[in-house]
Amino acid sequence: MPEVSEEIRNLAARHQEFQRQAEALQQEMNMVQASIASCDQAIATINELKKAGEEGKGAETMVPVGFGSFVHAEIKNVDKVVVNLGAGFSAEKSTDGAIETLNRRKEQLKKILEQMNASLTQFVQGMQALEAEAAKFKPEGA
Amino acid sequence: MTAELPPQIQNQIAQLQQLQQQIQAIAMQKSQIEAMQKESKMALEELEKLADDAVVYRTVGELVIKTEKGESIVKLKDREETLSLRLQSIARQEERLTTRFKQLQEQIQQAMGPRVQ
Repeated sequence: MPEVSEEIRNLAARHQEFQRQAEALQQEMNMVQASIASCDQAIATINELKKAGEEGKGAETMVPVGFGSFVHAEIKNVDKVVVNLGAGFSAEKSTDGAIETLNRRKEQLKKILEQMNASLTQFVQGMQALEAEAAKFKPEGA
Repeated sequence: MTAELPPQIQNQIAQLQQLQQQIQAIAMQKSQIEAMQKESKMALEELEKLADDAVVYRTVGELVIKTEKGESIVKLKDREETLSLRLQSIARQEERLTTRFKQLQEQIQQAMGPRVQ
């Protein structure tokens, strides 16, 4: 049955292509998810610093110098934060302004993640459709 | 099975595989540039929200350099333009490669056609 095998080969190739795209997308989604987590972390840290500032004490901390080693430091100014705006730009903001920016960025990232999720669903559906088509070629009882 | 194919077809199949790899690489480049473009757009939106006298920093390699809002906006707009030009040229390249891929695929299918049936 050369005709059938030709068609199955075609289906398999398309299936593989979907799979490749889905895997690539999943990797990107992991990166977006990591960015969202990083936003959350930054917001939590800024909030803590803000609290310390309101209590009138500068935050005592440590600055990493590499390989898990630190030097003691004190944060001079807990009211100002330099926030990453993307594309290599950062801006100095008040703590509230910084949190606002980070929240906005987080929402944007969440939206992107939703879109990616929708694409992933499409890929999976496409793969399922191909699998259903391939199942038709299975010999009876196999 | 490949061993039974005439060398010409084997050669064409190798070319086809190479083309496919090139198409995948270019698709990756394209999505990277698109992502950079999106990021620039988001950064521009954020910059435009800032007060005119806001303190802005720009990352240059390992350094962070103090700059101004206006200058940053100009720089980012420039960057957006460069990116969209690069995107255009990559899209053209992708189209060329895809066309060549389809042509080659057809040629191979035609050459293989009588053998398969």
